[in-house]
Amino acid sequence: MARNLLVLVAGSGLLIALVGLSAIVLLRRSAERSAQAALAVIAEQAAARIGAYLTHQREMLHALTGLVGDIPDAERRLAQVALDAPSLGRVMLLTTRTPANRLPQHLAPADVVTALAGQEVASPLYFREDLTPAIDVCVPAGAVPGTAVCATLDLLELQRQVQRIRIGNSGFALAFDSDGRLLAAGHPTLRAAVLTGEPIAESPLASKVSRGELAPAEFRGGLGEDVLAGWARLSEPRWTVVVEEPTREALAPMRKALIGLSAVALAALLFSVGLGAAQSRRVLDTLETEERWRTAGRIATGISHDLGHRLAILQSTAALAEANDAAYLPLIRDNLRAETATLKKFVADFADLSREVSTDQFLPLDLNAFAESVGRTIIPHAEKAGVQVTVLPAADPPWVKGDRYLLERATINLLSNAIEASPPGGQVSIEVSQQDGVAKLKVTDRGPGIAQERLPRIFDAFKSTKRTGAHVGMGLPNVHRIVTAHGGDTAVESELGKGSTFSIVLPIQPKPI
Amino acid sequence: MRRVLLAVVAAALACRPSREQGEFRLRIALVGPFTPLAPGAEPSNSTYAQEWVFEPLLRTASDGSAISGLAARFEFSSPARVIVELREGAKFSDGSAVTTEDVRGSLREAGFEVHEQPRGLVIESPSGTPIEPILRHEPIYKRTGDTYVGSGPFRVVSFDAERLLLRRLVPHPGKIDEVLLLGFPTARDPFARTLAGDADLLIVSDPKQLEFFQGVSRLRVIRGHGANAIAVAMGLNRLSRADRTGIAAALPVESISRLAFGTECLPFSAIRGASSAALPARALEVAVLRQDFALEHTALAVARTLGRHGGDVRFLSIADTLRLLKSQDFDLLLLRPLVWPPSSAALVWSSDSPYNRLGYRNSKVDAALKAGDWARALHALRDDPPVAFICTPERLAVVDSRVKNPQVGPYGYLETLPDWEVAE
Repeated sequence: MARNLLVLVAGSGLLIALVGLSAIVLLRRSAERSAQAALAVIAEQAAARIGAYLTHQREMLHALTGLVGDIPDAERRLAQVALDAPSLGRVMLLTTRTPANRLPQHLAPADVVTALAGQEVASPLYFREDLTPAIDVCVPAGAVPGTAVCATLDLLELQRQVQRIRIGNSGFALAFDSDGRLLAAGHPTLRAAVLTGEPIAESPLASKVSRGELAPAEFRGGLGEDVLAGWARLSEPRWTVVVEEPTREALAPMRKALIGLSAVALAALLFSVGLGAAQSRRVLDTLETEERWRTAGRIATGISHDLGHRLAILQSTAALAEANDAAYLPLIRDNLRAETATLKKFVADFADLSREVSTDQFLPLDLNAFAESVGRTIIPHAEKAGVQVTVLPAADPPWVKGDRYLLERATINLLSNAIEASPPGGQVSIEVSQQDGVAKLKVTDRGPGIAQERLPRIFDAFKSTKRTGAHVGMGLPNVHRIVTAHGGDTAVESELGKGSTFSIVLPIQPKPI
Repeated sequence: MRRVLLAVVAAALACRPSREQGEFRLRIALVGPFTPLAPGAEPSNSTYAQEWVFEPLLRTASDGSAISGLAARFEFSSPARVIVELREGAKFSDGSAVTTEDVRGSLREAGFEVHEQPRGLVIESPSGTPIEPILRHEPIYKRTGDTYVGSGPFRVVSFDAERLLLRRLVPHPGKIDEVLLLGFPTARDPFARTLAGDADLLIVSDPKQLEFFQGVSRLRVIRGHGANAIAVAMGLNRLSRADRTGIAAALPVESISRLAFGTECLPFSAIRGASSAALPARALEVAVLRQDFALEHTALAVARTLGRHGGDVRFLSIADTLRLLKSQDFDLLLLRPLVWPPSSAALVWSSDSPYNRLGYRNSKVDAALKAGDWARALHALRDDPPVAFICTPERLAVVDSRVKNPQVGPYGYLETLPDWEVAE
């Protein structure tokens, strides 16, 4: 019962733990998704701002193409634009007559031809002499074929926009071109890579995003730390923006919630286990009390039944005595003798029950010698019943430790039962053996045997199979009590019509020196 | 027993802090290779180190005036003659005392004569050239074989084209113990390496470059008085004195400065021509060195503000710029002449100065400079202006935040570095 209750309590605790764990996992996933979505929104906003800035610069250049008409004056006026729009850097007119040393330095010759042919072109990012990041852009002047307006587009504003983005304490943004080259970095340490052009951990991911592929939202970032990230792509140029935040920081609020949730789950678990244990103890106490009452009831029933039977015999014997008939004397004598013996045994059984087994009083015991001694003790009783008792000692005497008196009472109990169960002329054996670290003392009779269904509860109190004789059902429970108190066990094998074998199994002890 | 004793001694030595422990090495990132540290050599990256290895006789106070350097006391009897008393016990890094002969040898190249008097050393310029500006930057040294030793607080420990290591002669707790100058091949490298934490100090030539250091808590920005102004030189062979006076008066300095630099350049107002002068009738071509965006924008602003008198802006290579400077065959040319400290005018505008790269000659200016009257010299310059000063950009650097009191200037870019204190 206690084990069942324990399993029940543990099961409910496990359930609470599972529910808590599931909640934690769900909370973490939800927090991750939420943080990534927020980062993606910021990345989209940053990309939109950068895109708007670039579009604005291009629109200015397109507007400047309206100046192209009178070419000599146009060149002068275009050059002056740099003062009013510093972000355009150097502004110049590109024509087929522009000398080679005046061409935009970072545009490939093919790009120059393309620009003059009427198509907008842009160079890769480079750094101007003053270390300002820039790209050369040329837009065709539609009104005058074969001419274009070119500018050294200052991307410092891009750097500023990216550097302005701060996520929490240490989140930042990065911008890449379509090859994964870092264009601007919000984190100072990574900014060195903007200048050197060295790829960083995010570079290959940025290239993928630039090609329209999906990039992971969680990865090991360029600073060597796990980050959550949101990506966005500009349509033209195909640059990418990533906004990232260290996972530890992004999930910090979730971790706090998790700690709270874990605390609540743990408290619930402890409360559940505590409550379950208290309730279980109360139930066990109740059951124990009830069991005691049931035991007392069984004892009372047995005692009243047996004593009532004995009392009836004694009343009958008294009635015979009152008849003053000498013919009844032998019967009166036999009755009194028998009932006295029965009551004596009855008292002895109760005396045995009241005797506590104390391990302090255990002494080494040669089980062979013990069996022979008990055999000798029981012989007079056996002879009276016409039964022969044989002792079969073990080849190598096993030693055990125990209370000799109590073990003797247990063995004699088994022998008495065996003798009573044997028909006159029958045989009872006491066999000693040892195997696998245990010593066995087996008492075997050739009596009628015990029905199989009674065997499982044969060592329970008041379950005697011979309630009609001098038995109140306390003998075998007492044997079991004594043997288990010695760290051993009892066993029974029986077959109807063939007899029974009761065994006392005790832990073997080394022979005393 | 002997082995045990040795083991104990070895263990005790191992537990002692190494000499390197707790020392502060400042790494400076620069562009270009290093040349051997030699006074009088062409300016290079090594020039920065020269300020800490060698001492001039005079130094510059924050207000531009001369103060004691290796000379503990000095007294000018005329702009071309001074009596100095060397710092007591002044020694070179090899332990030898600084002698009159060392001072004489150090100033021989400048053409100064040095002789002893009971009151100290008399230094004079036979040509009458003002000697104060020269004494501020001419280092006093002793040559031993192919090397030079100075009396500054640092000495050269090792040198090659990419690294120059200096070490403080006398350890000074709380100050920089070693300076390692690192030379990189491109202008981008010093920035990248400083951002990456491989260098602790970087000289910044353009305020926009400070954008890279936004949010870098490891570094702090320091600013100092600029030594060079943005100026418009007027071709002496093409423009008359009246033309130049008219142009100088017509140029709206503050507008040009604002157009070209925003608020990043302090407008110059020391020299303004007479307002009644007329401008030349033709449009004036404005020449400028390509690759210098600040000057390019100034050139555009000058051309614009001159209105119809402003001609085309012509972008030049370095060679063309030098050629024009020599020929003076230009209308207007953007330059960065030295303007700080005020006495530097004697170096730049004196007719016989080797630093007078414009070849400007004006007897009134020469007389004022020889008299050491810088204010009068500037006034004379205003009446016959070779240049129109526009503004003076600040000198900038970023430096490790652990340095507590870094500053730029007041004369050499990093001359005060030996006095910088570092946090524990």
